[in-house]
Amino acid sequence: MTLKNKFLNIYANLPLSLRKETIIVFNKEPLTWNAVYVEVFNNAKNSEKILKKLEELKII
Amino acid sequence: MTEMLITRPEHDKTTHYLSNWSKEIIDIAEDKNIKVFDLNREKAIRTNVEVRLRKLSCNLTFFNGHGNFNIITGHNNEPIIIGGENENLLKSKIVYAISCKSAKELGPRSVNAGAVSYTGFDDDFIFIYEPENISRPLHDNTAKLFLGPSQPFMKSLIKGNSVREGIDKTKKLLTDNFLKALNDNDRDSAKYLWWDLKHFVSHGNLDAKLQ
Amino acid sequence: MSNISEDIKELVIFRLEAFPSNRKVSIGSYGEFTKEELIDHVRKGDEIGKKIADIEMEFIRALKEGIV
Repeated sequence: MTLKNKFLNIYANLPLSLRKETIIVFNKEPLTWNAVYVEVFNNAKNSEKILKKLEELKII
Repeated sequence: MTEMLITRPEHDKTTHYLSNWSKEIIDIAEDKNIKVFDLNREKAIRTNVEVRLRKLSCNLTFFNGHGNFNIITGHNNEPIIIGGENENLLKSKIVYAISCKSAKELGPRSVNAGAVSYTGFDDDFIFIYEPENISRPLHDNTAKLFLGPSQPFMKSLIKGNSVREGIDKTKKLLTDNFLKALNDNDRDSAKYLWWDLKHFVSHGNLDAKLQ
Repeated sequence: MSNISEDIKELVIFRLEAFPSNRKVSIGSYGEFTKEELIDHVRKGDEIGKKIADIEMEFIRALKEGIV
């Protein structure tokens, strides 16, 4: 399973209120589950780096 | 006649909250003709606990306070039950301990020494509270999410249900409060309720009931 | 207990910033803490700070398995 798929599966199962929680600080910017979703959904240029960092932190 | 020992130190804000939230159990027990020995504040010391446990024919002990993996503490954090020293005094008793971490090592040791069961937490017990309600802990709706679930176990046992049924009721209320906190966007309460639920454990005979 | 990595420290501090200022948290025998005190301990990376960080990360990681 790709990191993108792993992230999307976890995200889909998250209670709505928890999606507003910060899960990563990327380039000094805090990103919530929702913010990461937007990056990943759009295959934005940093999405792969963000997903790799989430994997290193064992969050996905 | 069933007898119950309860320890309620009150030397800091945490024990102040625990003590107030466990007081209702005393009233419920006495209504059911259970004789209660309440070691409150400076009475919650080792010598008093040991004297009572040696004398008591009963079966039920409820420890409130701090602790560690192998100890339960009382007034001013003085150890009152220490694994390797006096856990044998818990022989034949159903034990409930809101005492951080003690269910990790002291729990199994107590059961090996003859305790019927030992229910509590195998890591830190955590709760959030409202400082403006420090003088009225029972009005603290945030603390209620965490300390409300500390009651069903004892209430259930006192009513004649098994340890297992008491555990299930406690877990259900913790889960319900966790879901409520999520729904109310109280994510911090949700996180610590999840933690407490994860670390709420029991050892020994879960089918045991008060005789 | 190993030191808190800088990545985790940064993340946990951002998360703790959302803790209400009018609440305190009781953490076992460690005591009672305001938001600022929690953040301070995490910055220092002391025993309490590591505990706080562990709880935060355990919670986030548990979401992988479906927390509800």
